[in-house]
Amino acid sequence: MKNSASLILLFFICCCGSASAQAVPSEDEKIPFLCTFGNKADIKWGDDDFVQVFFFAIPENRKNPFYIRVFDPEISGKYDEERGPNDTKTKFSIYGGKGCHSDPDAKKSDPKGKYKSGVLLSTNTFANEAKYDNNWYALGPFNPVEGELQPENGGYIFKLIVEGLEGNDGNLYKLFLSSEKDNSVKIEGGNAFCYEYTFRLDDNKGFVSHIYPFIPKGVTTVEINIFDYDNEGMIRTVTVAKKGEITQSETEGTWSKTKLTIVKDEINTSMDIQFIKKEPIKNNNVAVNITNQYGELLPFYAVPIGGVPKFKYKIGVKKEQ
Amino acid sequence: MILRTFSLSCFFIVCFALGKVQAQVYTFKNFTQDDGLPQSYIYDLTQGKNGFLYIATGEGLAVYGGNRFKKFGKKDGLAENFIYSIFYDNKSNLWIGHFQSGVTALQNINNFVVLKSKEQVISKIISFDQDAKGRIFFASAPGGIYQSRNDSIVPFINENLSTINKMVVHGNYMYIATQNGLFQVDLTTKAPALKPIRETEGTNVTSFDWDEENNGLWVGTEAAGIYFFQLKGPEGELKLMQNIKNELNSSKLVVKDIKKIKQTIWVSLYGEGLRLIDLKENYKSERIRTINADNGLPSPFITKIFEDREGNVWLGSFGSGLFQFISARFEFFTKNNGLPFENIVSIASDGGKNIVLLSAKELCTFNTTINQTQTTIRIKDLLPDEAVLCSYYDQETKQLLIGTEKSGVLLAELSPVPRILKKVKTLEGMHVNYIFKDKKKKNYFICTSDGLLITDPAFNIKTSYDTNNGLPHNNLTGGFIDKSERLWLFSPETPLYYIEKDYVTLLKDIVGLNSFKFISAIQDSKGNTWFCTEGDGVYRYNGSKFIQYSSQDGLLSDFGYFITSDQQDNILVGHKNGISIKYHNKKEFKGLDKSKGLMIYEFNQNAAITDADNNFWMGSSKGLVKYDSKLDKVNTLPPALSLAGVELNGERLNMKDSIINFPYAEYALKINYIGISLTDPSAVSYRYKCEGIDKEWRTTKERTIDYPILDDGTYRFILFAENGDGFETAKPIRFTIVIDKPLWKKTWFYVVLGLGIIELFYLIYVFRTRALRRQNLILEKRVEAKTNELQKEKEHVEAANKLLEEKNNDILDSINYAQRIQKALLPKKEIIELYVNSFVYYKPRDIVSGDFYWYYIKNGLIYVAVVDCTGHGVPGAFMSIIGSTILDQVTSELHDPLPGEILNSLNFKVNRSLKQYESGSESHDGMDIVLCRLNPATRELYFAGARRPIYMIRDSKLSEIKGTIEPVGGHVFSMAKNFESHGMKYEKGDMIYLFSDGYVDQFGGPNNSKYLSKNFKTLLLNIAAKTLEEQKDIIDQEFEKWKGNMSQIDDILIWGIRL
Repeated sequence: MKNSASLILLFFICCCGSASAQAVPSEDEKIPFLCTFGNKADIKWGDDDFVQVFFFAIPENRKNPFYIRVFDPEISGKYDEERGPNDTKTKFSIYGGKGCHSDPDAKKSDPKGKYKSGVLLSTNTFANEAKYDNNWYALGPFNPVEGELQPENGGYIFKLIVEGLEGNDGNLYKLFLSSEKDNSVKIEGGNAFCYEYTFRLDDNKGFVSHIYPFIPKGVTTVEINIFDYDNEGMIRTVTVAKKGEITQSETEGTWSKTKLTIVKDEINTSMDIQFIKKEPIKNNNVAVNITNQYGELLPFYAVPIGGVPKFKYKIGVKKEQ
Repeated sequence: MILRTFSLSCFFIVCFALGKVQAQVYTFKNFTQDDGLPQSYIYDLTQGKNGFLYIATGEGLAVYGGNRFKKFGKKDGLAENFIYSIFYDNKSNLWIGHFQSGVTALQNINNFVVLKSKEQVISKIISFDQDAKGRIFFASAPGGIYQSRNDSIVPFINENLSTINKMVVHGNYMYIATQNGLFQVDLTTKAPALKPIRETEGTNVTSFDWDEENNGLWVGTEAAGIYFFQLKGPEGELKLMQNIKNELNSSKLVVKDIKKIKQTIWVSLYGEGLRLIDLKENYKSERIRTINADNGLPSPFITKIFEDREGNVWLGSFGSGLFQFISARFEFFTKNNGLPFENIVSIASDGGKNIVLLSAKELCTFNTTINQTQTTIRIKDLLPDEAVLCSYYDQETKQLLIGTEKSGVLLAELSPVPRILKKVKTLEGMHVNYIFKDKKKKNYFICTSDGLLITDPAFNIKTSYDTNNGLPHNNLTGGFIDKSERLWLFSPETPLYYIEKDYVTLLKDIVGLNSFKFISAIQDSKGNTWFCTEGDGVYRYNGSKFIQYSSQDGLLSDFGYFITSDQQDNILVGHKNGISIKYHNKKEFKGLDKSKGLMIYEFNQNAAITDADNNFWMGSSKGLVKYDSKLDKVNTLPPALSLAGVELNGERLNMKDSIINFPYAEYALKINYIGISLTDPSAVSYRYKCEGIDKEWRTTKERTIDYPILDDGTYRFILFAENGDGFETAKPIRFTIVIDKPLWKKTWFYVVLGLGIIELFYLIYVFRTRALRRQNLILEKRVEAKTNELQKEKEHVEAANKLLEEKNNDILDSINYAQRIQKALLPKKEIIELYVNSFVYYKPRDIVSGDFYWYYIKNGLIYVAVVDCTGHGVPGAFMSIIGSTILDQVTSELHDPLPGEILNSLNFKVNRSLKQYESGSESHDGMDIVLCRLNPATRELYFAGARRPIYMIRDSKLSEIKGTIEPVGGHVFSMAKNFESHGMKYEKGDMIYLFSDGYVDQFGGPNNSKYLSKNFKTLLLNIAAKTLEEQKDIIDQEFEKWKGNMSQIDDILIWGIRL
C-alpha cells in the first residue's frame, strides 16, 4: 500500500474500537464459525486448501502479554463437521518476527512457498479432545515485540496458521485476540485480518453473513472469488456507491468470479459482501477472497475499516426540458 | 480465698475450629522495567565469573551487578535487540542468541562481534553450550544445531530435527530436547548422529537439567511430566529411573524449565507457577511443594530458573520481570490465609506443638507443625469493655493465664477443648500487664499497674511490692527471674532494678548502663542476661558489667519490643520495622527487614516465643510470623571483585598490565570497581590502600575512589571486597602506577647539573682569571705610570717640604727670638721679691704668650697686674707688648693713680693705638686685667679689674672682688666704659691672687670638663697657708694632674702675693 493509503488505513484501524474488534469472526460479520478441514477432506465440502491464515495486529505501545484464544479447537462434539471416524487433527501455529506478514507468500490465497514465513512462536495440535469441545483454549502468552513491526498495519503483526492435518473432518472454531488467558478481553487498538476467508454459513434461510474487504487507493476493479457457494443464495455487494449489486454463484467445489468496477467514492472504504441464504442448506462452507485488477489479494478486516458501508444516496435536480 | 468459678462459660464462649491449612508465603524481590530492565519478558539468565547477572529480554540485554541494570542493544553492536539466549563460556566470552538475527559474541569488554552465517539468518537461538575441546555449539529452535568457528556459524548436525527446546553438552554427549523427544549425540564421533531416547519419543521434551550428584538428567516435558534418567555404562545410555506426573498436581503439565538446586528440583509449570520437588536419598522425591500466586509467586509464567554462584535462586518470567527468591525462612499468617485475627498482642506456648495467640478480644490455638489454627475463642463477649493484655501458659498445671485491663487474670485450659474457666478472684479488678512464673518455687508473678503480686499456685497472694515498700514505680510492664534468683522488674521511665532477698536494688549511675526504658529480658545458657529497651538498644549483663548493643552494632533499631532466644543461644529482638538476630557465634546483630523477606513487621511488645523446634513465633499488628533461623544462609562466598575502570586525568587506562608507567605530570586518579554479592548487594564493603598515599588501610562502601593529585612516584593499589557476612575476597585487585620523576628529580640530572655547575664554575674561574690577569696587566701598567707620577710628585713634595721646613725653621727662630724679647719685658723675679712676697706661676701655651704680669713702683706705691691679652701665641705676645708699654706709660704719667684710673687710661690708649674707634676697624683685640695698688705704709689695697676678679684669703676665708665686665680695648668702643677702683685694708699674712682665666678654663679631669673657678677657689683655700714655693708647686701639680693628656688650651698666669 502506498504511504497515504497506509495512513488512512491506520487512521481507520485506530478508530475501530468496538467490543468485537478482535473476535474472528466478528459480530458485524454474522458468520457462525471459521472452518478448516483435515487434509483428506473433499474440497467440495467447502475448504479449498485445508489451511487458513489469519493476522493479528497488536498496537506498538502495548507492553503486557496477550493471548489468542481459540473456541472449540478440537474436532468433535457440538459444532464440528464429522465425516466418518474422527481422525482429524488441526494444528494451530503462531508466527511472529520479520517476514511473518511481509513475505509475499504469506499474503497469498494458497498455502504455497514460504507462507510459513517468520519465526514460529508456538504450535498446538488438537484432535478429538472433549475438554476443549465448546470451550476456549488460549494460545500464548506472547510478547508483543515477538511480532513483525508494521506500523502501517496497526503495530506488531502475528500470523496464525490453522492447518488441517490428517483426516477429513471439518473443524469449526472461532478466535479472539485477548489480553487475558481465561477471558476474552479485547486489546485496545488491536485488530485481525486475513486474505482468504473460509467459513461456515448459517443454516437458516434468509440469514445474511457479511465480509468486509477494504478498497485501497489505486484499485479500479475488484474480483470477488467464491469457492463452493453451492447456489444456496445470493451474493450482494453494497458499497457507498453501490446500493446492492446482486451476483449469483452456483459453483460446487470450484471458484466463481464476479468482477466489479470501483468508482472514486469507493476508494478507501470497505465493501460489504453479503451472503444471503435463500435455501436452507446445512453445513455449507465457503472460501472467499477478493483481488484487485493486478490479482493482488485485498485483506478482510474483522471489523470493517471505516465502518459498515452504507450506500450514499445523491439528490439531484432534473433539468427542465 | 476461694476462686469464684465462672459459670457462664457455655454462654460466652464461642468456639470454632477453622481447620484451614495456613499457607507458607514465599518472598520474592521483583525487578521490572521500572527498576531498569529493558523489558519484563525474560528469556534467559546466566552469570559470569565476574559476578554479573546477564538477563536476556525481548528489548535488550541487561547486565546486573547488584546496583542497577545496564542495557545493551543493537546500538551497542548487537545484531538485534531481541535477546533469546545467553551463554558464558570458559574463556569468559559471552554468547548472545537472538530472536531473528543469529548470534553476537562479546569477546572482550565492549567488543560485540556478530557472527556470520553462509546460510540464511538463523532465528530463535534457544541454547548454547561448550564441550571439553572448547567448541561452542548452539541450537536454533526451528531445528538446527550449529557450531561457531572463526566468527562464523557452520552447521553441526545435518539431520533434520523438529522444533528444538533446549540443547546441553555434558561430557562427550550433547543432549537435545525437541518436540518429538529427547536426543543424544556422541560428540566424539566424526559424523555426529542423533540417537533418540526411546522413552521420550513423540513427547514434547521442553527442558532438562543435569544432576551431577546422581549422574543423571532431569527431563521436563509437555503432558508427560518429569523424567529422571541416569547415565549408565560406558556408551552413555540413559536409563529411566523415575517419572513424576500426577504428583505435580497440574492441569496442563507444561514444563517450561527445570533446574536442580541443592536437594530440590525446581520445576516451572508454565501458567501454573512452580513445583519444588524435595529429594531424599538420591533422586527419590520426598515431597512436592507448590509456589504460585496464592503463596507469593508474582507470576505463573516462569520462563527460566537460575541459581547464582552464591546459591540465590533467580526466576525469569514472561511479562512480569525478574524475581529473586529471598528466603523461605519466614512464614506469614494473616486473615488471608486463615488466621482469625491479625493484631497479636501475646503468644504463649504449651511446650509442645501448639501456641496460643491472643488479640485484644480473641484467643486461638495454632498447631505449629501443620500450620493450622485449631480453635478460636472470642473473649469480647466476656470482656466487652476491656482488652486482653498478656498471657502465660503454665506447662505444669496446663493452664493458660490471661492478663486483662480491668478484670485481673482469666484462667483457661486448652485441652481437651480450649475454654475459659474462670476469673481469678484474688486478682479481680487488676490491670495486669505481664505474668510469669518462678518454676522453682512455683509462684506466679503478676505485674500490674499497681505493683507486683506474688501468688502461690492457687493464686493466694503471698507478697506484694509497690512504692510503699521499695519499688521505684508501681506500674510494672514486665519482669524476669534470672538463674541466681534475682527478680528483675521493668517500669516505664525507671532505671533498671531488681529485688533480691526482699531488697530492692536500683541500678543508677552504673557505668555503661544508660537507659530508663527496659522492656523485656531473657537469660542465655552462659548466664548472660539480655535486656531490650525502648530507644537504647540492647544490654548484655554478664554479672559484673553491662555491655550495650545499638544500631552501631548491627541492631536494626534501638527500639526493641521483645527479646527472646533459642536453644543455640541466638538472640532475637523485635522492632517496629523488623527484627534483629545475633547468632551465638557472632559479635554483632544482623537486621532483617522487608528487604530481607520479612513482609510483616510492626511487632507488639512481648509478643514472641520460641517453639520446641527452635522456630521463633512473633506477633505483630498485621499477623503472625514464623521465623526459622535454621534456614538462614551464611554467605561464605566473597563478592566477585572486578575492576570497572581506571582513569587517569579522565582517560581510561588499558589495565592489561599490572604495572603501568607514565611520564611526569600532575595526575588525578579515579578507580572504579565493583564487588558483586547478589545476596545482599548493599552490604558489600571494601578495604583498600594505595601505597604511596595511604598510610593505613581504609574501608568504604562506595564503588569509586579518587586520588585527585598524584605526583611522581610509585603507587601500588590494593583492594579487597567483603560480603555482608564478613567473607572477604582472597585475591584482591592489584595494580601499580609509576609516574616518572620530573627531570629535576632524576639522579642523572643532578649529576649532569653538578657537572655542569662545576664546568660553569671552572669556566667562570678561567674567564675571571684571564680577565683578572688582563686587568692586572692594565693595573700594573697604570700603577707603574702612577708610580712614576707619584715619584715625580714626591720629588716635588720633598722639595716643597724642604722649603717649608726651612721657612718653618726661620719662623721658629723668629718666635724664639720674640720669646726672648717678651721675657725681657716681664718683671724679674728677683726684682719682684724686693717689693712683695709672691710666686708667679707662668705657663704660656705656645712659645710666646698673650698673658703677662707687670709691676710698677712709684712713690712707695706698688702697682701689680696680671694681664690676659686677646689670643695667645704671637698675636697675644704683640698685645702683651702694647699692654706692658702703655701700662708703664700711663702709670708714670698719672699721679699716684688708682687702678681704675690706670685701666681707663689704658683703655683709651689701647683703643687709640689699635685705632678701634674708627668705623670699619677690624681690630677687636683687648685685654682682661686685674690691677692692684698696694700701700705697705697704710696697708691699703686698691683693685680694679677688667673682666677679672681678685681673690683675697684671710684666715682661710676667701673673698672675691669682681672687676668690671668690660675688657680693656676690644670690639666695643664705648666712651662710657669706666673701670672702678675698689679699696680695702689688708693685714699681714693675707694672700691675694691675681690670675688669668687660663687655669680655670683648662679641660681635663675625670669628665673632661673645665677646672672652673669653684675648684680653683677650693685649691687656693687649701694652699693659702703654705709657703709660696709650695703653693706654686701644688698649683703646677694640680694643673698637670687635671690636664692629663689634654692639650693646654690657653696661657696660664697666677700671681700669688702674700701681704
